[in-house]
Amino acid sequence: MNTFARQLGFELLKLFARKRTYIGFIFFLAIELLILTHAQLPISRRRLENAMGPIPGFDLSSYFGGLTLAFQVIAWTMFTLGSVYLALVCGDIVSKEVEDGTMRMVLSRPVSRLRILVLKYLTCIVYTFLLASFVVLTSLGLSILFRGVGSGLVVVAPWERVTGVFAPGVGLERFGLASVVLTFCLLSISTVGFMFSCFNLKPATATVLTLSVYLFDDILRNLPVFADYRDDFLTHHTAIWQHFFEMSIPWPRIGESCAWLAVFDFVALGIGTFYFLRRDFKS
Amino acid sequence: MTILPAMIRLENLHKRFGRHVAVENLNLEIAEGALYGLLGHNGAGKSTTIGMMLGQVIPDRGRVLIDGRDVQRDRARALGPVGAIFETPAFYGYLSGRRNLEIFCSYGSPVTRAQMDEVIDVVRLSGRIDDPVRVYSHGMRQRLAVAQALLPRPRMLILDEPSEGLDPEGIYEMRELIRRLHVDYRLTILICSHLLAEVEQICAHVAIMRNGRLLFHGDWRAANPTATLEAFYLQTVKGIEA
Repeated sequence: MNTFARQLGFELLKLFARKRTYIGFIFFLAIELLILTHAQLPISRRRLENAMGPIPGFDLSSYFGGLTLAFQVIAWTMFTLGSVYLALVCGDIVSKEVEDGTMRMVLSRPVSRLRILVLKYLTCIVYTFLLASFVVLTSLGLSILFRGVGSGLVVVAPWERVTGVFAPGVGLERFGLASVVLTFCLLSISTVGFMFSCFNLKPATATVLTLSVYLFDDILRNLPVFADYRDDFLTHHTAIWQHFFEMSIPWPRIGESCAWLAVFDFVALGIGTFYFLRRDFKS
Repeated sequence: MTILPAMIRLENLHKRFGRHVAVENLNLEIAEGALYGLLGHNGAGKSTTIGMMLGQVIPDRGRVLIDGRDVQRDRARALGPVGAIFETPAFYGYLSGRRNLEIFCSYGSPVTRAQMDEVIDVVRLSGRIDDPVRVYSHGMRQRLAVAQALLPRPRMLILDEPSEGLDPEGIYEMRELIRRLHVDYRLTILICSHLLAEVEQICAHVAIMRNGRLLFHGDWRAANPTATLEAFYLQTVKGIEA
């Protein structure tokens, strides 16, 4: 275990010693600041209120605080911008080492190919977790800093048919629960990137393919002709984290989507591993 | 005469890439303690053979045994006593030389700092080991590659074109280092090269490959005491062609 922990530590060092790893964190911070600064303008606030629509029996303006804004920021940015950085890092993680030649150096050491893959995938998990946590925490922190907690959390996400109004304490609790599942949802994008990274592809190709899979899936899911098959799309399940903001948490549906994603990840991981264990590494 | 056990045994190795047969039914034994040269033209199958020895290329048929262990089936233990360097050694350029050594060593048996410092000293990188590898010259990278191959202390070295890209001084240093490692550390060394003059100076035994096939293996001076290695190589290759 000590050896394994040491090897994992070095994998993380390899990842986090590279400047490009931080691009995602920096751009998320920048877009959060941009959205929140813009949200301070009265016109922007009115537009946001209009976009969220009226909720009968509630004075929306009193709920238009940090928690509400944080949800909007995460929902707008996480799966669009997030998918780019996850595809960039996880699509790179094996293929870049193969391209640079360091994988051959590693493979000349007495270590099994499977162990190398396990270490790489764990590194993807850590990166995904850190990116998701960073976005959730900075969105919450900055939103509260800009607008205070407010009277609570109002969630109106018509694209997922989610509506919820919560007191601040319950709202934060929901954020906590949602962020755990959010990481799990994002992990599916990372796993697709990892799978392509195991193939005999250039890092850029693995990244583009990962993004293509994710965006194609999202586009097809939203086409009316595929309305009957919505439940079978990856992006349908990766949006499940938003359902923690329904008034009553739909646990069966969340469980079903998590199981779907787990099977998806397992299959993608299996395909990538199968290929990696059988491929040749030559200069 | 003492017959030493085989450190490496290649049994009926066969590998093709698409229609191209890279290695064809290759059988070869390298005794423990030998300093062995693997020769051949570009595309002869040398690098594929080395790739199969290190478990990087998966043979279609046959097997590679290192110290009696099958590389495909028991990779982690079979490669335990092996150190290797390649034609263009690759490192994590954004990390220091020492950090690179620590990373590569983490995949093998534990290495103490004293052992690492000793090897760094042997390859004469002590003054620059904490610099990022991206600022290293080609010769320094090559010496760092030798250092990682020597950690933890292996019983066998596989060197794929170790002098490639080095200047004359670097080639001389590399040759002397190989000799020293063979004599002082009693390492079995396999050198894959197309620099015949280099191999001639250090290897008594060679294997000559052409188009994936083994044409000759053994003591080349015993086979033709009057010829240079270059003449012997050409004679072997052309003899087959004729």
